[in-house]
Amino acid sequence: MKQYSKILMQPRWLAVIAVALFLLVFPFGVTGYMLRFLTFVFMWVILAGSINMVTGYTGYLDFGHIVFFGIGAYVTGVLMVNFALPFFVSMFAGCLVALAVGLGVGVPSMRLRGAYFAIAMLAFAEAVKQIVLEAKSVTRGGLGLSLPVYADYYFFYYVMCLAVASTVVVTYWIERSEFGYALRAIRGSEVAAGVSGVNTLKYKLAAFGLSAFFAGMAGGIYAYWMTFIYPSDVFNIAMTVQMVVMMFLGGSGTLVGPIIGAFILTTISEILWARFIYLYMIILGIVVMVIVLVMPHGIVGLLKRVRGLKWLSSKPKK
Amino acid sequence: MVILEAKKISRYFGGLAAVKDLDFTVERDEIVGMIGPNGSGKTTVFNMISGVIRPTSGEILFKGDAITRSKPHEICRMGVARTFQVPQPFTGMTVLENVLVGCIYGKGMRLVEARKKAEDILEFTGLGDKMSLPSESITAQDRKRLELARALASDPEILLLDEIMAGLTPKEMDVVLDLLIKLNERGVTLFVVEHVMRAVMKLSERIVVLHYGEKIAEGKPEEVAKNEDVITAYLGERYA
Amino acid sequence: MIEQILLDGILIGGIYAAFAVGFSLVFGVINVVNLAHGEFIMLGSFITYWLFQLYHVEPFLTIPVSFGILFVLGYYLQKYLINPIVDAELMTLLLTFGLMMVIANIALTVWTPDYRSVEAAYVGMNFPFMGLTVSFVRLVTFVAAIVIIVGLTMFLQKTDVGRAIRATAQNRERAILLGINSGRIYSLTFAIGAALAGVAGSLLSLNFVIFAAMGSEYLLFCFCITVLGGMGYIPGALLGGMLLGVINSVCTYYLTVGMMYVIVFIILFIILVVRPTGLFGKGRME
Repeated sequence: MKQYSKILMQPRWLAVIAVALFLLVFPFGVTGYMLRFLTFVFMWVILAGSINMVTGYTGYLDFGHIVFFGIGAYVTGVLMVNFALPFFVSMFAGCLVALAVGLGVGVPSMRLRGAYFAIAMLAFAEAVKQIVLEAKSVTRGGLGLSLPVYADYYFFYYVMCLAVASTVVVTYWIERSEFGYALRAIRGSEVAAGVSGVNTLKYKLAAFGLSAFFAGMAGGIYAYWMTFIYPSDVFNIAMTVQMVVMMFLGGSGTLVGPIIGAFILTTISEILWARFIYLYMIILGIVVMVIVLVMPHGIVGLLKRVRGLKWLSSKPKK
Repeated sequence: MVILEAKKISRYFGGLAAVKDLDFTVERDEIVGMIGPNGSGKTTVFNMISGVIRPTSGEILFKGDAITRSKPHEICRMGVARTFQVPQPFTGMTVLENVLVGCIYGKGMRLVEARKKAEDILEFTGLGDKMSLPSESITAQDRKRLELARALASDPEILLLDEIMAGLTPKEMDVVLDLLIKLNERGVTLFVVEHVMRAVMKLSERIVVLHYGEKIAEGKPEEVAKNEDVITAYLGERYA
Repeated sequence: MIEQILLDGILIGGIYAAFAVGFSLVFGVINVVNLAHGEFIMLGSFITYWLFQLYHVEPFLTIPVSFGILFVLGYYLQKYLINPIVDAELMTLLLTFGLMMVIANIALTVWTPDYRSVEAAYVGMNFPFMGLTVSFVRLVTFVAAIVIIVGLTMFLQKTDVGRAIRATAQNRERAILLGINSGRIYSLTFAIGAALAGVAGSLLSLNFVIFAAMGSEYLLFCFCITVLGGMGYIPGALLGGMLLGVINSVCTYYLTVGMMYVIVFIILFIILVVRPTGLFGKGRME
């Protein structure tokens, strides 16, 4: 079994390098539309990947996850507009604030189980949205915030690309490291994890903090990219819905699951969103129900089952 | 030398006392059994010792240190391990990974040596050929073995076993009894909650009997079996 | 003036309690958080609206129709969709979530997001009472809501079916040993929960404006009420409802509607964190 995986590892790494090169070179042969579309897909990969870090690996369903995206967006915007700070500094500050808020709200709310946690986070997200709306002097409230203009789409493509890479790297580290074992134990049985020596609160918070950090990163880049943000845009519950569905569709608690889910759903939504938003939401709802009833481990789970069968039938040694 | 001591512990749920003013001690290297009819509070006692819930009042001491308000992971690292009455495997992880968690987080080992230790433990508990199976897919008896294996992962000084014999055939029971006696010889103190009289009477050096959360008898297995209060508790007045 | 606001709040509270009671029941018995509950309320509202609008049926007479339709819908939803996965907490949550999205968006497609109201003849009628003004419709709604809650409580306490439901809620394995078909009990319970939501929705349509997207708003209120009163604790829903009704009334009078939502969210969050078992401490934690 160990030999088998060593062989597999080689083509896997080659594939990764090939994809990376392709992504680097991609912008130079395509239209502006495709470039922006792929940047948009990347953003969703980050979002789905970030919620995967908490929901996928610990089993805590975060229905308010968009709040960290919005915090990242607004901190970046406010720092650039009110304090004239450069973009990367502001964005990084956005990530840190999102992380801090995540830890802050995580401590009380992660004692709650299942549905309670989900709703508490939803309530929190809505509360933060209203606060941002009310704090007009800082955030310009419902009028929206205008960031300095920077219309270089190549720049945003590469920045978003880097952000995706970092999300993937961190997720890969979670999968392979001892940290990952703790999270998956918590997901399997939190009580049993505790009595087996896992400091459940610490690890849940760590996963939550990471997930908030990366959602904030996506928000910060989004803010500068779009140049104009307003509360119901960046604190949009529908976006949480999307990232949750993306993650489950692809396969929660896996490395490539969120990536697959993000690609598929962003493509569908691109076609349907503007003209047929209700239809798109109906599709999302049906997708969720189908996943729950038929393929709870998402596409990745489905592929594993199919591949697993193939391996069983072609066992070499006897 | 007393390794575990409970001083007048009580646990109330709303107005209902699940455990009331319970005192007991467990000496090092002893095998102590805890029996009592359903609902007498035995699992609640284990939950309190392992830190899953807190006593409403009273103190619990492990090796002289108060663990009454300690967190489960701290108590585990101090040397207390437990199994669950209804097995709680880490779903989504293999049998080996289940035990690995305990080795890494309960015992503090690094991944490489933890893997070796986990494999040894699984061999000892008879799961050696099932290591890479998903823990959700193994049989009920194997899940009980996994509970035991996982508890052993943190290299405990005292092992709390919650009805580990339930649902086993007499032959399987003898295998487990054998394992437990071997463990005790290696220096692990055992505190065993059991319903299966044959097993607990055979295994224990001393038995504590609980009824409606209170201790009604304590002593050697033969003494306890003849105790009037115990018989009444299990079978009702008529049989005393 | 403040007494008027309080009175309005309490009267509204009755109906809030009515639609939260079904939600609490489903959680208490089946341990399922039904995120589509708000949509059942919305469906009840629209059943009343369309029957009134198209066939001029007296709104109060549409209540049994709402009850019936939602009962059947709820029964089969539980039986075929939820029962198969009823033990997986996260999955049932996602399932009802998906259901919510499907129902809400089909409604939005078919009925558009437009606001509508049931303009029955007696809707504006008021009468004076102890120096305050009481809306006729609101009073009748309040009474109906109380009847529903009391009726449910009696049903659970006095009838065989009700007792079977309570037994299953307490300990499913033991109930099965007693010969109770837990699957059927679950379907029945969910059906009752949905039917009550439908009835509450019908009553709602007489008091407030209705619109296809209203489900999520009422779901939030349900959550608040059941968390305040204690998840699974029926009498608590009544207190929770009245409390929320008063908060609603006070907030909409003195502040903006937006702020009222913020306050509701903050209260919800605080209660969940500080006292998840509700004000009476009788709610279920898991």
